[in-house]
Amino acid sequence: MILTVTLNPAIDKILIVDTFEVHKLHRLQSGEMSMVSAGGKGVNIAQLLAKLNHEVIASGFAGGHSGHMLCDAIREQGITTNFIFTQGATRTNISILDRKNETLTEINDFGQEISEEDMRFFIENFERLLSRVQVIVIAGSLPRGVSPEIYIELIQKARKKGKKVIIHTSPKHMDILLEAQPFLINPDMRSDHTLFGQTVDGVDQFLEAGEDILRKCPESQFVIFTHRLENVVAVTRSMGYVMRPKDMNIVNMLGYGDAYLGGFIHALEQGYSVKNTLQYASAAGLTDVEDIHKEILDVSKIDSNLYRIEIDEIKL
Amino acid sequence: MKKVCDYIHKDISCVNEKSSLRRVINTMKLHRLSALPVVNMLGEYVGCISEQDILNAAVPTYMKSMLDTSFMAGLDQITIHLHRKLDENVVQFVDVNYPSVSPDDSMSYAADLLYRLKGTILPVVDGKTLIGLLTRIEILSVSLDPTI
Repeated sequence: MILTVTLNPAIDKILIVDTFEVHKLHRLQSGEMSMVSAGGKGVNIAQLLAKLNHEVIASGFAGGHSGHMLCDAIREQGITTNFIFTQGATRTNISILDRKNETLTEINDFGQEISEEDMRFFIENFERLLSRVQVIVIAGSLPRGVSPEIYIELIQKARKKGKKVIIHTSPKHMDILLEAQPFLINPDMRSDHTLFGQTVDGVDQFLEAGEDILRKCPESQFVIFTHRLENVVAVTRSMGYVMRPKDMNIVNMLGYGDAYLGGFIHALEQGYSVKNTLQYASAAGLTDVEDIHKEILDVSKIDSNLYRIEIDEIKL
Repeated sequence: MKKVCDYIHKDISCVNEKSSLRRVINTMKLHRLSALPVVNMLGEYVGCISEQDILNAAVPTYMKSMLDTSFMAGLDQITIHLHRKLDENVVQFVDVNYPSVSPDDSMSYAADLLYRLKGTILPVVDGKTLIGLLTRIEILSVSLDPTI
């Protein structure tokens, strides 16, 4: 059983238009698309894992009519929901994909503000769920009113019970993560390329930064930089790995990181070797970006894309 | 045979024995549920609390003896009494004898149980672990199944 934690989930509204212009009324034409789905990183990961036949509990905060919509959509995928409902409403994130100009415009709302009391109730609930699950994924942004120290509390509670925690969050919280020491750290560096105040980019710097983080986190096992699709870098205690997808044809970047982590967890749960796990994760990411939809519709395509992932192994 | 696991509403929203009455009322309101399963700190199902249980607790004791007469409890008397209890622990209002069903039980059994209970939900429990709910609409949904 896998638990996903999405503290700030969303309803994703995705519009796919031929040309997007500001200051203009757009009426969707045939061939263009409008899609509404449950979203937020942890939720997206839960949906892929459910498609890969895992038992999943999706947790976090929700609220209002949109919160009920979110939970209904998640349950439709066969996932168990355990969201704490609070005052305020689950946010809506809007993405506009312009096919002709190949641009992606995203507007992410703030989301609900979470009170300390609701957070306490969430933590009580989280602790109870730990005995039922093996892997916990904490992914996505923090809602207003919640301090990043919450990561330390959640991760340490899970670690005490011997559970693996996989975290995907902004690199600005890296100091906190060094203290919390999750099993896997996947910094979300799509819009923030700095780690500990320094710009980090390129394979060599990723390998160095990963080694540095693992040195400081004796309990952590993986640091993975996924945002450069052409060179995904993973660092373990003894090895560095660079994954390169061949002949990638990017159609829609939305959901790429979530597909990667969902693929990683699936392979980990299947008991694959480290190399095969990383290969499967990258194949899931590749399968996601080559389809117009945010999520992977046909999971068998991941297996057929495995051969397209080249892996360089580097002894550290 | 239609089984509970085919119709289960896979939501495990619940309160725990330490939760306050305020938390319970808020959870019922925001989750749009008229009753909630209660679990202990290990996550094991211990009973249920319904809107009716809370209303029963809200009527001051001295008024309960008058309920059989034409005396009607005033809203103020109920809400003021309840307001004083909001921070109290929920455990005293929980119906610990409230039954549950298991995923392999038949829907006929669940329907019969819910009908006799005059309740609104039936917690679905695997071993001692809460795994979801059946509400009256899940029971009614069986009739919509075209294979019947």
